[in-house]
Amino acid sequence: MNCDTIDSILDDHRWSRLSPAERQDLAAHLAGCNRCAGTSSAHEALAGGQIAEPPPELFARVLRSVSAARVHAHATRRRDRRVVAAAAAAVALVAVVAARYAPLDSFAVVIVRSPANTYTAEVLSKVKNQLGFGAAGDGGENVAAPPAPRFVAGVDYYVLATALPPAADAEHVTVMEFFGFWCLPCYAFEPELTRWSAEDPAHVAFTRVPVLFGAYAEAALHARAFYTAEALGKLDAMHGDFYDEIHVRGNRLSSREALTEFFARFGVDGATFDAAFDSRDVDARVQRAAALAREYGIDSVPAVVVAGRYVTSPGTAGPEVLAVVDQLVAEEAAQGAAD
Amino acid sequence: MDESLEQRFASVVQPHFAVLYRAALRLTRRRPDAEDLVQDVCLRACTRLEDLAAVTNPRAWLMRALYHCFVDATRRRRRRPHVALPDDEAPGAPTSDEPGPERAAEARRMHERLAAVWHRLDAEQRALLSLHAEGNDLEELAAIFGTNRNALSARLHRARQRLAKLLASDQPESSLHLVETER
Repeated sequence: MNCDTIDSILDDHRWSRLSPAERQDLAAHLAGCNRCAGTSSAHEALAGGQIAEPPPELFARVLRSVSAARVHAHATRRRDRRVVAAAAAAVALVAVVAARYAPLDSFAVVIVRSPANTYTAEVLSKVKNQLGFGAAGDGGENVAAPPAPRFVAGVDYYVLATALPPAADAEHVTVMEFFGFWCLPCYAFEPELTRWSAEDPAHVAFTRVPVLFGAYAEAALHARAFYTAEALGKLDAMHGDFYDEIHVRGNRLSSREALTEFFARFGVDGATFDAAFDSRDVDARVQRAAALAREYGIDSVPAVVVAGRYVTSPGTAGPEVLAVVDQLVAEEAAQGAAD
Repeated sequence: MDESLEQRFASVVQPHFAVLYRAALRLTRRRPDAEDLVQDVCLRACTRLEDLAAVTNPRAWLMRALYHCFVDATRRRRRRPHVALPDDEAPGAPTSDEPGPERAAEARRMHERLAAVWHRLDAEQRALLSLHAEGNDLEELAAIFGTNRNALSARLHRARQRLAKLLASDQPESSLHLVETER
């Protein structure tokens, strides 16, 4: 048996169907040939293990996104036409109009606030009418269609196959961020998220949920520390510092001792820390966090779950992730009000 | 808008959907990325449904689309970084029925090393190796990649040897890595 034979065995998928005699020949060749030993183990690595079948809901999801993309494309074309009409009415506004992906309702605001604004109220109202913002009976003949949602399921966010609405009152839409203090992208996402959550719209209930992925030695420890801080009422004071300690000061907080020392800086003495860290209450919160991540199938962080039903992330939606969250919250709130 | 687009799409694509997904999973080695990739392919298929319905081998058409979408995605798509978590259903992940703890450990080690070096192959090599591992023979691969059997077999051998070299030289390391600009 030579190298060419072995290549063709691999090429023709005969590797697993060799006769005992062929197997012996093969083993003899591999023992003396590094090249073939390497390529055959590469082949085995590729072929080995089992390959999962598509998740049962994937085809349905793809089908929905195929439909959604079609609707979305149609809506975008509609919007373009309206924008073109506006540009014809007021050529001077072309530059502003080019920002056609600005949310439509803030569009008029952009025009008004423009520092170079010399437009008369008359021009402005004409443009608004053309865009479909004219108040009813204010001369606008167009009845504006409701704007199509900017973000689409399957592209900017995913819909969970089984919605698992978290226990929440009917007036609030829950938004959860899954994160890890050790996770650099979570740290990068943090300022934006903090700003967003500080706006604190009345109908949003925002929580953070640390993930406990086993492969990161610190994950479980940090999750416990997170809930310890929460139980002690120190979370607001410590959350940002926790990230900074790891990513700025390079202290990975990877042991209980390091955490004790870190908590001491926030006025938590060792005994108080120990009592909270080992408490059943914290234990239960950690278990619940682990269960949530499992239920929602969180497999990368940061990730944001809205209303127990939608999952998005900076990785999925890009820089507009929080606008996606806002849209989903608005849709949920409207749905809740309609029910 | 005709109601039947979804139906036509389903009748052409669904029979090949499982193969498409498995190939995407081999190619990307992570489920979320495989799902994204399958979705890209389906959106492309949807815009070219007439072509797709007319070809004699829709599976090869879809595999070619898979390859092109994968190359496009690696080339152009800028994703914001996130941390990919270990994916136990990724291809080659050890299964529970692995005979004996040693075999299981060996399988896990191989899985992790493969995951660690995979992104160092170029996109075409990853595509070749994945579609071959998914059971396509050389004729089918030649059709998918638009080349002849000999040229294809030479490329496949090169890809396999490059992977062998990477596997041999790579120090065992965690398969967890920051996903930067490619998926």
